[in-house]
Amino acid sequence: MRDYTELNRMVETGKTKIVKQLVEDALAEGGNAKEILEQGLLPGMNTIGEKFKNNEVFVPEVLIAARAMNAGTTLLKPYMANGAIQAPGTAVIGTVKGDLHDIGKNLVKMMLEGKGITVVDLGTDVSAEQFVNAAVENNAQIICCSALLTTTMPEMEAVVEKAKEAGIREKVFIMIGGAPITQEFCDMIGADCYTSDASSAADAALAYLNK
Amino acid sequence: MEIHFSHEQFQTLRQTYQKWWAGELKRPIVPIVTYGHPSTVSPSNGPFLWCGTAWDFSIDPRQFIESHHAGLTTQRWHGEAFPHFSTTAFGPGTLAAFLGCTPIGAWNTVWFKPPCEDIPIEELHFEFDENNPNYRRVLNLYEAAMEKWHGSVVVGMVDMGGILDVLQSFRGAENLLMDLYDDPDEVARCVKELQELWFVYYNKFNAIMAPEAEGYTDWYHMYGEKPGYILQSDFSYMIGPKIFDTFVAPELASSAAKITNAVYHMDGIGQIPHLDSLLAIDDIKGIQWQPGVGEPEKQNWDDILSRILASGKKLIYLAQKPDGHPIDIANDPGQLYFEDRSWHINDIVEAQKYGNLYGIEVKES
Repeated sequence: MRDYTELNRMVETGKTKIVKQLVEDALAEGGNAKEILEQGLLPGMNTIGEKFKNNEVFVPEVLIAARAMNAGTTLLKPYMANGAIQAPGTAVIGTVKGDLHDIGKNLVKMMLEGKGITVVDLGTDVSAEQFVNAAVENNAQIICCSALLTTTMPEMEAVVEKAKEAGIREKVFIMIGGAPITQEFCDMIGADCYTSDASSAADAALAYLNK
Repeated sequence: MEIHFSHEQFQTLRQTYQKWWAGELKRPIVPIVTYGHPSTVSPSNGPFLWCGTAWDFSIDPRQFIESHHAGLTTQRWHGEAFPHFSTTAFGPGTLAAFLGCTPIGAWNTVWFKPPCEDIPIEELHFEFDENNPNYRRVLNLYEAAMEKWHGSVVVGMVDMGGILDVLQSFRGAENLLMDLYDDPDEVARCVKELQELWFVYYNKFNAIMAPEAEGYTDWYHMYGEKPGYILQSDFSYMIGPKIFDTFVAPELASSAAKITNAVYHMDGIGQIPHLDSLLAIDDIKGIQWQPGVGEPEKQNWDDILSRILASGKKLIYLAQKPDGHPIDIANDPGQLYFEDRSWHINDIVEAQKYGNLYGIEVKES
Protein backbone atom coordinates (compact mmCIF):
# COMPACT_ATOMS: atom_id res chain seq x y z
CA MET A 1 0.00 0.00 0.00
CA ARG A 2 1.13 3.55 -0.76
CA ASP A 3 2.25 5.86 1.99
CA TYR A 4 -0.49 8.44 2.43
CA THR A 5 1.09 10.32 5.32
CA GLU A 6 1.78 13.42 3.26
CA LEU A 7 -1.71 13.45 1.73
CA ASN A 8 -3.24 13.08 5.20
CA ARG A 9 -1.20 16.00 6.43
CA MET A 10 -2.06 18.21 3.47
CA VAL A 11 -5.78 17.58 3.93
CA GLU A 12 -5.47 18.32 7.62
CA THR A 13 -3.72 21.63 6.97
CA GLY A 14 -6.04 22.59 4.14
CA LYS A 15 -3.52 22.72 1.33
CA THR A 16 -5.94 22.34 -1.56
CA LYS A 17 -3.51 22.65 -4.45
CA ILE A 18 -1.08 20.13 -3.00
CA VAL A 19 -3.90 17.71 -2.20
CA LYS A 20 -5.06 17.85 -5.81
CA GLN A 21 -1.55 17.26 -7.03
CA LEU A 22 -0.98 14.33 -4.70
CA VAL A 23 -4.29 12.71 -5.69
CA GLU A 24 -3.52 13.23 -9.39
CA ASP A 25 -0.07 11.71 -8.87
CA ALA A 26 -1.53 8.75 -7.05
CA LEU A 27 -4.08 8.12 -9.80
CA ALA A 28 -1.44 8.52 -12.52
CA GLU A 29 0.66 5.92 -10.79
CA GLY A 30 -2.24 3.51 -10.89
CA GLY A 31 -3.43 4.12 -7.37
CA ASN A 32 -6.76 2.68 -6.33
CA ALA A 33 -9.47 5.35 -5.94
CA LYS A 34 -11.09 3.64 -2.97
CA GLU A 35 -7.75 3.40 -1.23
CA ILE A 36 -6.86 7.02 -2.00
CA LEU A 37 -10.17 8.12 -0.53
CA GLU A 38 -10.15 5.89 2.51
CA GLN A 39 -6.45 6.02 3.32
CA GLY A 40 -5.46 9.37 1.90
CA LEU A 41 -8.31 11.84 2.22
CA LEU A 42 -10.75 10.77 4.93
CA PRO A 43 -8.15 10.24 7.69
CA GLY A 44 -6.94 13.82 7.29
CA MET A 45 -10.48 15.04 7.78
CA ASN A 46 -11.01 12.71 10.72
CA THR A 47 -7.90 14.07 12.39
CA ILE A 48 -9.08 17.64 11.99
CA GLY A 49 -12.48 16.58 13.36
CA GLU A 50 -10.88 15.18 16.48
CA LYS A 51 -8.75 18.26 16.93
CA PHE A 52 -11.84 20.43 16.52
CA LYS A 53 -13.64 18.43 19.17
CA ASN A 54 -10.71 18.98 21.52
CA ASN A 55 -10.49 22.73 20.78
CA GLU A 56 -7.07 22.32 19.20
CA VAL A 57 -8.28 23.86 15.95
CA PHE A 58 -11.24 26.09 15.16
CA VAL A 59 -13.85 26.56 12.45
CA PRO A 60 -11.66 28.17 9.75
CA GLU A 61 -9.20 25.29 9.97
CA VAL A 62 -12.03 22.79 9.56
CA LEU A 63 -13.35 24.68 6.55
CA ILE A 64 -10.09 24.76 4.69
CA ALA A 65 -9.45 21.10 5.48
CA ALA A 66 -12.88 20.18 4.14
CA ARG A 67 -12.24 22.21 1.01
CA ALA A 68 -8.96 20.39 0.45
CA MET A 69 -10.64 17.03 0.97
CA ASN A 70 -13.43 17.92 -1.45
CA ALA A 71 -10.88 18.94 -4.07
CA GLY A 72 -9.40 15.49 -3.76
CA THR A 73 -12.72 13.62 -3.79
CA THR A 74 -13.80 15.56 -6.90
CA LEU A 75 -10.87 14.04 -8.76
CA LEU A 76 -11.93 10.60 -7.59
CA LYS A 77 -15.55 10.91 -8.67
CA PRO A 78 -15.08 9.41 -12.18
CA TYR A 79 -13.61 6.34 -10.50
CA MET A 80 -16.42 6.16 -7.96
CA ALA A 81 -19.15 6.09 -10.59
CA ASN A 82 -18.47 2.50 -11.44
CA GLY A 83 -19.55 1.45 -7.99
CA ALA A 84 -16.07 0.77 -6.73
CA ILE A 85 -16.73 3.00 -3.78
CA GLN A 86 -20.01 2.73 -1.92
CA ALA A 87 -21.00 5.53 0.40
CA PRO A 88 -22.07 4.22 3.80
CA GLY A 89 -25.35 6.05 3.41
CA THR A 90 -27.13 9.32 2.68
CA ALA A 91 -28.08 12.16 5.00
CA VAL A 92 -30.21 15.20 4.30
CA ILE A 93 -29.22 18.21 6.33
CA GLY A 94 -30.52 21.70 6.90
CA THR A 95 -31.16 24.53 9.34
CA VAL A 96 -34.78 24.55 10.43
CA LYS A 97 -37.43 27.00 9.31
CA GLY A 98 -37.05 30.53 10.62
CA ASP A 99 -33.34 30.16 11.24
CA LEU A 100 -30.71 31.42 8.81
CA HIS A 101 -27.60 30.33 10.69
CA ASP A 102 -25.57 27.92 8.65
CA ILE A 103 -22.10 27.44 10.05
CA GLY A 104 -23.02 24.70 12.52
CA LYS A 105 -24.96 22.89 9.82
CA ASN A 106 -22.09 23.27 7.38
CA LEU A 107 -19.61 21.89 9.88
CA VAL A 108 -21.73 18.79 10.39
CA LYS A 109 -22.04 18.43 6.63
CA MET A 110 -18.27 18.55 6.25
CA MET A 111 -17.71 16.05 9.02
CA LEU A 112 -20.30 13.69 7.51
CA GLU A 113 -18.58 13.97 4.15
CA GLY A 114 -15.35 13.30 5.98
CA LYS A 115 -16.84 9.92 6.88
CA GLY A 116 -17.71 9.28 3.25
CA ILE A 117 -21.43 9.79 3.81
CA THR A 118 -23.39 11.34 0.92
CA VAL A 119 -24.93 14.59 2.08
CA VAL A 120 -27.88 16.45 0.56
CA ASP A 121 -27.67 20.00 1.83
CA LEU A 122 -31.05 21.75 1.96
CA GLY A 123 -29.56 25.02 3.19
CA THR A 124 -31.21 27.23 5.81
CA ASP A 125 -34.82 28.09 6.66
CA VAL A 126 -35.91 24.55 5.76
CA SER A 127 -39.47 23.48 6.53
CA ALA A 128 -40.34 20.13 8.07
CA GLU A 129 -42.00 19.13 4.82
CA GLN A 130 -38.85 19.92 2.83
CA PHE A 131 -36.74 17.76 5.17
CA VAL A 132 -39.07 14.81 4.80
CA ASN A 133 -39.59 15.18 1.07
CA ALA A 134 -35.85 15.33 0.52
CA ALA A 135 -35.33 12.26 2.66
CA VAL A 136 -37.87 10.34 0.58
CA GLU A 137 -36.53 11.56 -2.76
CA ASN A 138 -32.94 10.70 -1.89
CA ASN A 139 -33.62 7.48 0.01
CA ALA A 140 -31.82 9.05 2.93
CA GLN A 141 -31.28 7.06 6.09
CA ILE A 142 -30.57 10.17 8.15
CA ILE A 143 -32.13 13.60 8.63
CA CYS A 144 -29.94 16.19 10.36
CA CYS A 145 -31.63 19.33 11.71
CA SER A 146 -29.75 22.33 13.02
CA ALA A 147 -30.98 25.37 14.98
CA LEU A 148 -29.24 28.20 16.76
CA LEU A 149 -32.28 30.09 17.96
CA THR A 150 -34.43 28.92 20.86
CA THR A 151 -37.44 30.22 18.95
CA THR A 152 -36.84 27.85 16.03
CA MET A 153 -36.22 24.72 18.09
CA PRO A 154 -39.89 23.65 17.91
CA GLU A 155 -39.47 23.17 14.17
CA MET A 156 -37.43 20.08 14.97
CA GLU A 157 -40.45 18.47 16.57
CA ALA A 158 -42.37 19.30 13.41
CA VAL A 159 -39.80 17.32 11.42
CA VAL A 160 -40.33 14.30 13.66
CA GLU A 161 -44.10 14.60 13.29
CA LYS A 162 -43.90 15.11 9.53
CA ALA A 163 -41.74 11.99 9.20
CA LYS A 164 -44.44 10.05 11.05
CA GLU A 165 -47.15 11.43 8.79
CA ALA A 166 -45.15 10.47 5.71
CA GLY A 167 -44.70 6.95 7.04
CA ILE A 168 -40.90 7.08 7.06
CA ARG A 169 -40.30 7.59 10.77
CA GLU A 170 -39.00 4.04 11.29
CA LYS A 171 -36.71 4.31 8.28
CA VAL A 172 -34.89 7.53 9.15
CA PHE A 173 -32.55 8.39 11.96
CA ILE A 174 -33.36 11.96 13.01
CA MET A 175 -30.40 13.83 14.43
CA ILE A 176 -30.60 17.30 15.95
CA GLY A 177 -28.01 19.81 17.08
CA GLY A 178 -27.17 23.46 17.65
CA ALA A 179 -26.27 25.66 20.58
CA PRO A 180 -29.64 25.67 22.39
CA ILE A 181 -30.32 21.96 21.87
CA THR A 182 -29.96 19.47 24.72
CA GLN A 183 -30.39 15.75 25.19
CA GLU A 184 -33.53 16.46 27.21
CA PHE A 185 -35.01 18.36 24.29
CA CYS A 186 -34.09 15.54 21.94
CA ASP A 187 -35.84 13.03 24.19
CA MET A 188 -38.85 15.28 24.60
CA ILE A 189 -39.53 15.68 20.88
CA GLY A 190 -38.79 12.06 20.05
CA ALA A 191 -35.73 12.64 17.87
CA ASP A 192 -33.14 9.87 17.73
CA CYS A 193 -29.86 11.54 18.45
CA TYR A 194 -28.35 14.72 19.83
CA THR A 195 -24.66 15.51 19.79
CA SER A 196 -22.97 18.60 21.11
CA ASP A 197 -20.44 19.01 18.32
CA ALA A 198 -20.07 18.36 14.62
CA SER A 199 -17.42 15.70 14.91
CA SER A 200 -19.50 13.64 17.33
CA ALA A 201 -22.48 14.02 15.02
CA ALA A 202 -20.52 12.44 12.20
CA ASP A 203 -19.36 9.63 14.49
CA ALA A 204 -22.95 8.96 15.54
CA ALA A 205 -24.20 9.02 11.96
CA LEU A 206 -21.59 6.55 10.82
CA ALA A 207 -22.24 4.29 13.80
CA TYR A 208 -25.94 4.24 12.89
CA LEU A 209 -25.24 3.46 9.25
CA ASN A 210 -22.83 0.67 10.17
CA LYS A 211 -25.29 -1.00 12.52
CA MET B 1 -43.60 65.97 35.54
CA GLU B 2 -44.64 62.98 33.49
CA ILE B 3 -41.34 61.16 33.79
CA HIS B 4 -40.24 60.98 37.39
CA PHE B 5 -36.51 61.36 37.11
CA SER B 6 -34.97 64.73 37.74
CA HIS B 7 -31.82 66.48 36.62
CA GLU B 8 -30.56 66.13 40.19
CA GLN B 9 -31.10 62.39 40.05
CA PHE B 10 -29.03 62.29 36.88
CA GLN B 11 -26.31 64.22 38.70
CA THR B 12 -26.32 61.66 41.48
CA LEU B 13 -26.22 58.87 38.91
CA ARG B 14 -23.20 60.43 37.23
CA GLN B 15 -21.39 60.80 40.55
CA THR B 16 -22.12 57.21 41.52
CA TYR B 17 -20.82 55.91 38.20
CA GLN B 18 -17.74 58.12 38.48
CA LYS B 19 -16.98 56.54 41.85
CA TRP B 20 -17.64 53.06 40.49
CA TRP B 21 -15.29 53.43 37.55
CA ALA B 22 -12.68 54.98 39.86
CA GLY B 23 -12.95 52.00 42.21
CA GLU B 24 -14.28 54.18 45.02
CA LEU B 25 -17.78 52.77 45.19
CA LYS B 26 -17.61 49.85 47.54
CA ARG B 27 -20.75 48.22 46.25
CA PRO B 28 -21.93 47.05 42.82
CA ILE B 29 -23.95 49.09 40.36
CA VAL B 30 -27.52 48.14 41.32
CA PRO B 31 -30.30 49.35 39.01
CA ILE B 32 -33.82 48.85 40.39
CA VAL B 33 -37.01 49.67 38.50
CA THR B 34 -40.55 49.67 39.80
CA TYR B 35 -43.47 49.87 37.42
CA GLY B 36 -47.25 50.12 37.51
CA HIS B 37 -47.25 53.56 39.18
CA PRO B 38 -50.17 55.91 38.52
CA SER B 39 -49.75 58.12 35.47
CA THR B 40 -51.52 61.09 33.94
CA VAL B 41 -50.65 59.79 30.49
CA SER B 42 -53.02 57.38 28.79
CA PRO B 43 -51.60 53.90 28.26
CA SER B 44 -50.39 53.28 24.75
CA ASN B 45 -51.58 50.61 22.38
CA GLY B 46 -48.42 50.96 20.35
CA PRO B 47 -46.88 50.57 17.95
CA PHE B 48 -43.94 49.63 20.13
CA LEU B 49 -40.39 49.29 18.92
CA TRP B 50 -39.43 45.64 18.54
CA CYS B 51 -37.65 43.59 15.89
CA GLY B 52 -40.80 43.13 13.88
CA THR B 53 -41.59 46.86 13.71
CA ALA B 54 -38.18 48.51 13.77
CA TRP B 55 -37.72 48.36 10.01
CA ASP B 56 -41.36 48.77 9.10
CA PHE B 57 -41.12 52.03 7.22
CA SER B 58 -44.87 52.55 7.40
CA ILE B 59 -44.42 53.40 11.08
CA ASP B 60 -43.19 56.87 11.88
CA PRO B 61 -40.39 56.69 14.49
CA ARG B 62 -42.26 59.31 16.53
CA GLN B 63 -44.94 56.70 17.20
CA PHE B 64 -42.36 54.47 18.92
CA ILE B 65 -41.32 57.40 21.08
CA GLU B 66 -44.89 58.17 22.13
CA SER B 67 -45.62 54.53 22.97
CA HIS B 68 -42.47 54.23 25.03
CA HIS B 69 -43.14 57.52 26.76
CA ALA B 70 -46.46 56.28 28.08
CA GLY B 71 -44.74 53.28 29.62
CA LEU B 72 -41.99 55.36 31.19
CA THR B 73 -44.53 57.53 33.00
CA THR B 74 -45.59 54.48 35.02
CA GLN B 75 -42.03 53.64 36.09
CA ARG B 76 -39.75 54.81 38.87
CA TRP B 77 -35.99 54.34 38.99
CA HIS B 78 -33.92 53.56 42.05
CA GLY B 79 -30.28 52.88 42.70
CA GLU B 80 -28.51 53.19 39.37
CA ALA B 81 -31.58 52.72 37.19
CA PHE B 82 -32.55 55.56 34.89
CA PRO B 83 -35.16 56.18 32.20
CA HIS B 84 -33.91 55.00 28.86
CA PHE B 85 -35.09 54.04 25.41
CA SER B 86 -33.51 50.93 23.97
CA THR B 87 -32.84 50.68 20.25
CA THR B 88 -31.70 47.07 20.24
CA ALA B 89 -34.76 46.19 18.16
CA PHE B 90 -32.95 47.41 15.06
CA GLY B 91 -30.97 44.22 15.37
CA PRO B 92 -27.41 43.15 16.03
CA GLY B 93 -25.01 44.63 13.53
CA THR B 94 -27.09 47.50 12.15
CA LEU B 95 -24.00 49.01 10.55
CA ALA B 96 -24.57 46.44 7.80
CA ALA B 97 -27.97 48.02 7.12
CA PHE B 98 -26.44 51.49 6.87
CA LEU B 99 -23.96 50.18 4.31
CA GLY B 100 -26.32 48.41 1.96
CA CYS B 101 -27.68 45.23 3.54
CA THR B 102 -31.44 44.84 3.78
CA PRO B 103 -32.74 44.39 7.34
CA ILE B 104 -35.42 41.73 7.72
CA GLY B 105 -37.25 41.78 11.03
CA ALA B 106 -38.17 38.49 12.68
CA TRP B 107 -39.76 37.67 16.02
CA ASN B 108 -36.72 38.28 18.17
CA THR B 109 -33.92 39.18 15.83
CA VAL B 110 -33.14 40.98 12.62
CA TRP B 111 -31.36 39.40 9.68
CA PHE B 112 -29.23 41.48 7.36
CA LYS B 113 -29.42 40.34 3.78
CA PRO B 114 -26.49 41.38 1.59
CA PRO B 115 -27.10 43.38 -1.60
CA CYS B 116 -26.09 40.28 -3.57
CA GLU B 117 -24.73 36.85 -2.70
CA ASP B 118 -21.06 35.93 -2.71
CA ILE B 119 -19.61 39.35 -3.40
CA PRO B 120 -15.86 38.74 -3.72
CA ILE B 121 -14.07 40.32 -0.80
CA GLU B 122 -11.84 42.39 -3.04
CA GLU B 123 -14.98 44.00 -4.50
CA LEU B 124 -16.32 45.04 -1.12
CA HIS B 125 -15.75 48.71 -0.43
CA PHE B 126 -17.63 50.56 2.23
CA GLU B 127 -18.55 54.22 2.18
CA PHE B 128 -20.71 56.54 4.20
CA ASP B 129 -24.07 57.13 2.52
CA GLU B 130 -25.95 60.08 3.94
CA ASN B 131 -29.08 59.04 2.05
CA ASN B 132 -29.20 55.39 3.00
CA PRO B 133 -32.84 54.90 4.10
CA ASN B 134 -31.91 52.62 6.99
CA TYR B 135 -29.48 55.18 8.34
CA ARG B 136 -32.07 57.91 7.88
CA ARG B 137 -34.62 55.87 9.80
CA VAL B 138 -32.39 55.46 12.84
CA LEU B 139 -31.29 59.07 12.58
CA ASN B 140 -34.94 60.17 12.50
CA LEU B 141 -35.61 58.11 15.60
CA TYR B 142 -32.84 59.85 17.50
CA GLU B 143 -34.11 63.24 16.34
CA ALA B 144 -37.65 62.37 17.40
CA ALA B 145 -36.42 61.16 20.78
CA MET B 146 -34.51 64.35 21.42
CA GLU B 147 -37.46 66.46 20.31
CA LYS B 148 -39.71 64.62 22.74
CA TRP B 149 -37.47 64.18 25.75
CA HIS B 150 -34.70 66.75 25.33
CA GLY B 151 -32.22 64.31 26.76
CA SER B 152 -34.15 63.50 29.91
CA VAL B 153 -34.64 59.94 28.66
CA VAL B 154 -31.35 58.38 27.68
CA VAL B 155 -31.54 56.90 24.19
CA GLY B 156 -29.44 53.80 23.60
CA MET B 157 -26.89 53.57 20.83
CA VAL B 158 -28.02 51.09 18.21
CA ASP B 159 -26.30 47.74 18.25
CA MET B 160 -23.99 48.47 15.35
CA GLY B 161 -22.28 45.13 15.74
CA GLY B 162 -18.74 43.91 15.84
CA ILE B 163 -16.60 44.70 12.82
CA LEU B 164 -16.24 41.10 11.62
CA ASP B 165 -19.93 40.52 12.40
CA VAL B 166 -20.80 43.28 9.95
CA LEU B 167 -18.37 42.00 7.36
CA GLN B 168 -19.94 38.56 7.79
CA SER B 169 -23.31 40.05 6.81
CA PHE B 170 -21.85 40.93 3.43
CA ARG B 171 -19.62 37.91 2.84
CA GLY B 172 -21.43 35.13 4.65
CA ALA B 173 -19.83 33.35 7.58
CA GLU B 174 -18.25 30.53 5.65
CA ASN B 175 -16.72 32.76 3.00
CA LEU B 176 -15.33 35.12 5.59
CA LEU B 177 -13.86 32.30 7.65
CA MET B 178 -11.99 31.09 4.59
CA ASP B 179 -11.01 34.65 3.63
CA LEU B 180 -9.01 34.73 6.83
CA TYR B 181 -6.69 32.17 5.22
CA ASP B 182 -7.16 33.02 1.55
CA ASP B 183 -7.24 36.82 1.54
CA PRO B 184 -5.97 38.09 4.88
CA ASP B 185 -4.92 41.43 3.41
CA GLU B 186 -8.40 42.03 2.03
CA VAL B 187 -9.96 41.11 5.37
CA ALA B 188 -7.63 43.58 7.06
CA ARG B 189 -8.60 46.27 4.55
CA CYS B 190 -12.31 45.68 5.12
CA VAL B 191 -11.82 45.71 8.89
CA LYS B 192 -10.09 49.08 8.62
CA GLU B 193 -12.79 50.56 6.39
CA LEU B 194 -15.60 49.26 8.58
CA GLN B 195 -14.00 50.36 11.81
CA GLU B 196 -13.62 53.91 10.48
CA LEU B 197 -17.24 53.95 9.35
CA TRP B 198 -18.42 52.48 12.63
CA PHE B 199 -17.13 55.59 14.35
CA VAL B 200 -18.59 57.90 11.71
CA TYR B 201 -22.09 56.61 12.52
CA TYR B 202 -21.40 56.37 16.24
CA ASN B 203 -20.28 60.01 16.32
CA LYS B 204 -23.19 61.19 14.20
CA PHE B 205 -25.78 59.58 16.46
CA ASN B 206 -24.05 60.85 19.58
CA ALA B 207 -23.85 64.33 18.09
CA ILE B 208 -27.64 64.45 17.86
CA MET B 209 -27.90 63.67 21.54
CA ALA B 210 -24.95 65.71 22.78
CA PRO B 211 -26.54 69.18 23.12
CA GLU B 212 -29.11 68.08 25.70
CA ALA B 213 -28.15 64.57 26.80
CA GLU B 214 -28.28 63.77 30.48
CA GLY B 215 -26.12 60.84 29.56
CA TYR B 216 -25.57 58.01 27.12
CA THR B 217 -26.20 54.33 27.03
CA ASP B 218 -25.74 51.44 24.64
CA TRP B 219 -27.53 48.27 23.73
CA TYR B 220 -26.75 46.88 27.20
CA HIS B 221 -28.15 49.92 29.04
CA MET B 222 -25.10 50.81 31.10
CA TYR B 223 -25.13 54.49 31.91
CA GLY B 224 -22.37 56.72 30.59
CA GLU B 225 -21.71 60.33 31.38
CA LYS B 226 -19.89 60.41 28.04
CA PRO B 227 -20.52 58.15 25.04
CA GLY B 228 -19.50 54.60 25.85
CA TYR B 229 -20.13 51.28 24.23
CA ILE B 230 -20.16 47.57 24.83
CA LEU B 231 -17.90 46.28 22.07
CA GLN B 232 -18.41 42.87 20.61
CA SER B 233 -17.21 40.36 18.08
CA ASP B 234 -19.58 37.42 18.03
CA PHE B 235 -17.80 36.11 14.95
CA SER B 236 -14.83 35.42 17.22
CA TYR B 237 -16.74 32.46 18.65
CA MET B 238 -15.60 30.53 15.59
CA ILE B 239 -11.95 31.46 15.40
CA GLY B 240 -8.85 30.53 17.34
CA PRO B 241 -6.60 32.81 19.37
CA LYS B 242 -4.06 33.32 16.59
CA ILE B 243 -6.62 34.70 14.16
CA PHE B 244 -8.31 36.65 16.94
CA ASP B 245 -5.02 38.31 17.83
CA THR B 246 -4.40 39.17 14.19
CA PHE B 247 -7.77 40.48 13.08
CA VAL B 248 -9.85 41.27 16.15
CA ALA B 249 -7.75 42.24 19.16
CA PRO B 250 -5.97 45.17 17.45
CA GLU B 251 -9.29 46.55 16.23
CA LEU B 252 -10.85 46.19 19.68
CA ALA B 253 -7.87 47.90 21.30
CA SER B 254 -8.01 50.89 18.99
CA SER B 255 -11.81 51.13 19.21
CA ALA B 256 -11.74 50.90 23.00
CA ALA B 257 -9.18 53.70 23.11
CA LYS B 258 -11.69 56.00 21.40
CA ILE B 259 -14.57 55.17 23.75
CA THR B 260 -15.09 56.18 27.34
CA ASN B 261 -15.14 53.14 29.60
CA ALA B 262 -15.43 50.52 26.87
CA VAL B 263 -16.76 47.11 27.86
CA TYR B 264 -16.48 43.88 25.86
CA HIS B 265 -19.46 41.58 25.37
CA MET B 266 -17.92 38.12 25.60
CA ASP B 267 -20.71 35.95 24.35
CA GLY B 268 -20.35 32.21 24.49
CA ILE B 269 -17.90 29.53 25.41
CA GLY B 270 -16.25 29.84 22.02
CA GLN B 271 -14.80 33.14 23.20
CA ILE B 272 -13.05 31.71 26.24
CA PRO B 273 -9.80 31.11 24.29
CA HIS B 274 -9.64 34.87 23.71
CA LEU B 275 -9.98 35.92 27.33
CA ASP B 276 -6.27 36.50 27.94
CA SER B 277 -6.04 38.69 24.85
CA LEU B 278 -9.07 40.67 25.97
CA LEU B 279 -7.76 41.15 29.47
CA ALA B 280 -4.51 42.47 28.02
CA ILE B 281 -6.34 45.38 26.35
CA ASP B 282 -6.04 48.20 28.90
CA ASP B 283 -8.76 50.35 27.39
CA ILE B 284 -11.36 47.62 27.79
CA LYS B 285 -12.51 48.47 31.28
CA GLY B 286 -15.00 45.69 31.81
CA ILE B 287 -16.03 42.29 30.52
CA GLN B 288 -19.59 41.14 30.15
CA TRP B 289 -19.42 37.37 30.30
CA GLN B 290 -22.42 35.56 28.92
CA PRO B 291 -22.14 31.78 28.52
CA GLY B 292 -24.26 31.77 25.38
CA VAL B 293 -27.47 30.19 24.25
CA GLY B 294 -27.86 26.67 25.57
CA GLU B 295 -25.02 26.89 28.05
CA PRO B 296 -26.26 26.57 31.61
CA GLU B 297 -26.02 29.95 33.25
CA LYS B 298 -25.78 28.41 36.69
CA GLN B 299 -22.82 26.30 35.72
CA ASN B 300 -19.76 27.18 37.69
CA TRP B 301 -17.95 29.80 35.69
CA ASP B 302 -15.77 30.80 38.65
CA ASP B 303 -12.56 30.29 36.72
CA ILE B 304 -13.65 32.73 34.01
CA LEU B 305 -15.08 35.21 36.49
CA SER B 306 -12.00 35.02 38.73
CA ARG B 307 -9.69 35.76 35.83
CA ILE B 308 -11.74 38.81 34.91
CA LEU B 309 -11.82 40.06 38.50
CA ALA B 310 -8.10 39.41 39.02
CA SER B 311 -7.36 41.62 36.01
CA GLY B 312 -8.94 44.54 37.85
CA LYS B 313 -11.58 45.01 35.17
CA LYS B 314 -15.24 45.36 35.95
CA LEU B 315 -17.40 42.27 35.71
CA ILE B 316 -20.73 42.78 34.04
CA TYR B 317 -23.46 40.14 34.45
CA LEU B 318 -23.33 36.76 36.20
CA ALA B 319 -21.96 38.58 39.22
CA GLN B 320 -24.92 38.03 41.48
CA LYS B 321 -26.32 35.13 43.45
CA PRO B 322 -30.07 34.47 43.24
CA ASP B 323 -30.55 36.00 46.70
CA GLY B 324 -29.23 39.31 45.40
CA HIS B 325 -25.80 39.18 47.01
CA PRO B 326 -22.56 39.37 45.04
CA ILE B 327 -20.90 36.15 43.97
CA ASP B 328 -18.57 34.70 46.59
CA ILE B 329 -15.41 35.08 44.56
CA ALA B 330 -15.77 38.85 44.33
CA ASN B 331 -13.43 40.30 46.94
CA ASP B 332 -14.38 43.79 45.87
CA PRO B 333 -18.11 44.15 45.16
CA GLY B 334 -17.24 47.50 43.62
CA GLN B 335 -16.00 45.62 40.57
CA LEU B 336 -19.46 44.31 39.84
CA TYR B 337 -22.40 45.46 37.77
CA PHE B 338 -25.80 43.91 38.28
CA GLU B 339 -28.51 43.79 35.68
CA ASP B 340 -31.71 45.80 36.07
CA ARG B 341 -34.20 44.19 38.41
CA SER B 342 -37.80 45.29 38.26
CA TRP B 343 -40.87 44.87 40.44
CA HIS B 344 -44.48 45.87 40.04
CA ILE B 345 -45.56 48.52 42.53
CA ASN B 346 -47.73 45.90 44.24
CA ASP B 347 -44.55 44.02 45.13
CA ILE B 348 -42.58 47.03 46.24
CA VAL B 349 -41.70 45.42 49.56
CA GLU B 350 -39.57 42.92 47.64
CA ALA B 351 -37.89 45.76 45.79
CA GLN B 352 -37.22 47.52 49.08
CA LYS B 353 -35.73 44.38 50.62
CA TYR B 354 -33.43 44.06 47.64
CA GLY B 355 -32.48 47.73 47.78
CA ASN B 356 -31.72 47.44 51.50
CA LEU B 357 -28.98 44.93 50.72
CA TYR B 358 -27.06 47.83 49.19
CA GLY B 359 -28.36 50.78 51.17
CA ILE B 360 -30.58 51.88 48.31
CA GLU B 361 -33.86 53.46 49.25
CA VAL B 362 -36.80 52.34 47.11
CA LYS B 363 -39.57 54.89 47.56
CA GLU B 364 -43.20 54.11 46.93
CA SER B 365 -43.87 57.05 44.65
